[in-house]
Amino acid sequence: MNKKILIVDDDSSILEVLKLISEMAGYKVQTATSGEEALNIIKKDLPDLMVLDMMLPGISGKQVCKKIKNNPKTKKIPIVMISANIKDADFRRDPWAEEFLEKPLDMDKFLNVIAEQLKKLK
Amino acid sequence: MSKVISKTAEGNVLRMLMENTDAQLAYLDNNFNFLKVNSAYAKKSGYKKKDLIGRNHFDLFPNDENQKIFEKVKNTGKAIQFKAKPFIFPNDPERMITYWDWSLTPIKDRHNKNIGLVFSLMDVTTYKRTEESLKRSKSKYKNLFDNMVDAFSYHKMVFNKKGEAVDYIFLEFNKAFEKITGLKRKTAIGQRVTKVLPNIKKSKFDWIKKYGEVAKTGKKMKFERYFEPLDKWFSVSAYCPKKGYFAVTFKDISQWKTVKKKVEHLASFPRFNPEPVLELDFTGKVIFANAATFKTLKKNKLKPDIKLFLPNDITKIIETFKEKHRPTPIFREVQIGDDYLELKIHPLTKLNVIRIYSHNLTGRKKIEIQKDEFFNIASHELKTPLTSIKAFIQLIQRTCKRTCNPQMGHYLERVDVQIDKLTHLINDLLDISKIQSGKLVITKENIKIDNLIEEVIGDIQMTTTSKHKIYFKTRSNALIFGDHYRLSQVLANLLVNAIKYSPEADTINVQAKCKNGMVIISVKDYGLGIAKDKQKQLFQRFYQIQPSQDFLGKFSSLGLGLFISAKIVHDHNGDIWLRSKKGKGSTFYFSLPEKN
Repeated sequence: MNKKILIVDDDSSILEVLKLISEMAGYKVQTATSGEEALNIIKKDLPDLMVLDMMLPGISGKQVCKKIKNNPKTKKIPIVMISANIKDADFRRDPWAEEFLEKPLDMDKFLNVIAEQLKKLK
Repeated sequence: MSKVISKTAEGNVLRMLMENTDAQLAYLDNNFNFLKVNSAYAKKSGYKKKDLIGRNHFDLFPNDENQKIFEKVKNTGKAIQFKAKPFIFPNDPERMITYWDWSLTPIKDRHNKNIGLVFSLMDVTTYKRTEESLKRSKSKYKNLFDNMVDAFSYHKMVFNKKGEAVDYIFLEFNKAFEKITGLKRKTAIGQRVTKVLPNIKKSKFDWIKKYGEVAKTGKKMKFERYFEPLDKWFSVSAYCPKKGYFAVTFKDISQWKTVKKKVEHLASFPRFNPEPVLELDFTGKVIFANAATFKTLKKNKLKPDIKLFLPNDITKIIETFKEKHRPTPIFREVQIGDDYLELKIHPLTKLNVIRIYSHNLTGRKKIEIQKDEFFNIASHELKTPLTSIKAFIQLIQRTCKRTCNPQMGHYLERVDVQIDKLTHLINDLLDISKIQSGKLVITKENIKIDNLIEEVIGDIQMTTTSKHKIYFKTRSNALIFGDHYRLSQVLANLLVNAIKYSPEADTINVQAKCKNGMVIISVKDYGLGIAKDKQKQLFQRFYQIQPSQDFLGKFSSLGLGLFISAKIVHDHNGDIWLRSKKGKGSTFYFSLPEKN
């Protein structure tokens, strides 16, 4: 069965292209443009992996990540954090996420990381 | 020996007279032998009466001068008298010089022939000494009075019918008074001040009234005043030795006043300096702080504790000042509430103080913070569209591989490279902004340097489109404590440069070696090399090797990479350098402290 991934980013263009590429790689993709929306989706439908932007309107990506990891139901979902400001120390120090990727993303690397994280779940 | 005087009544009277006088009397024969002495004489001479009789005067009290006088009196038959004639007792040299009033009178018989001499003395030593010391002290006081540095003058106050002081008369003054005021005894003594110094009435300060109070009330007064009639400043003390009279001692302090004024003028510079200025002694105690210091504290609603202005390591700074022969100023930044101050801590060894000049950086700091924020947002905003552009380009590339003409794939690759370049530039600008404001954060962790090198080489190898092969042959096995991300950035920068500046070569060698507690990582290329004179400037900001005609345009960048790398390495207490010869390739090195 195809793996489900949830991609969260407030930029619709980025969301669109990441969805396209992920679908081409054979994943089932859900998208959200805010932290709140993402948390709502997770309540109904648990994804296998999450791609989460750091800078989001409202609840930040970091807070979303923390909430998910603090919830026993959702804490096993691997999270790939993406940010344009990867040099920020607090971003790199975040103990909750499994992976960090710097924007602009290299698609090969992006897909590799997702694949690796999903592989670990088995 | 002469005949003894017979004991007649006359003789008795004489004897009584002799014994009842304070004068010392002696009767000598013509050879100056003692025939008779009174008790007073014996006492003063230091001999007993019986030891004197029959002895020669000059055997007992040898004195050539006196002997000559005695001879002269004997020969001329004329009496002689002396007042306070000095004499030193030869039999008692301990005794100080003595003074005598004395007379020598020849005694004659009926035939006018000398039969002896009456020697009459009076010891006036005490009187003489008193007189002398009086004389001395008189001249001493006169001297003192005249040589007093302070002017002294004595006056009689003149009152009108209402009892108001209207004038005063000079009775006495000393030389210092003459010197300071220019008045002369001849013309001023006995004169009224209004006549001698008519301007005194025009003076703003009523001198006569003031002195009048002293003369009237007997109250002492001390004050400093500008005396207009003489255009001088005086420090005056006035007192009243007798009612209606007053004495004044005063000093000309005009020069001192001028100096004081100048000192005050100079002191006003630090005092009115709009920025805080402080002074410490070498124990670290604050001995001066200007108004701006307290203003700054008040503005920030802080307690007036001047110590807030001192940096945490002030004790250490003072120690270094003490150790050095010629200490140089040290700069520090402190935060006082919302204010940021830059301090220039200046050791003034000769004055034995440490002066702190401050400079308010708050405005600049605010701008810096705004600038940092702007750069952060700008770089984020710039990267957002770049992210989707890059992703779409790569999406097209993937599709093209299957369907499009191969030329198209090549074009898309070129676009992808340019996007990476743009991303690097944005990152570099952001880093520079952070370095400028001192906000380049270094987050340290334990790193196996060999692993880091492998990762970076892997990344570069994967993304580069050039034919270069990067070899990592010598490993260090070293552990360091540093910022993984930033150190990767340094190595990536060196590798990208190595590829860029060796277009004709295809090999790059990386090594890591341990030496003296440092790991030295080197990146060697076989490319263009860098001329010696250009090497030093390489790590400066915005420096870039002038591209030669052949490569013009090929190597354009802002030249920030090495500057940022140097900053990162220095922040790790390491160093960065290179060895290169033009045309023979370059080796860049950077060192990092090994973690034990």
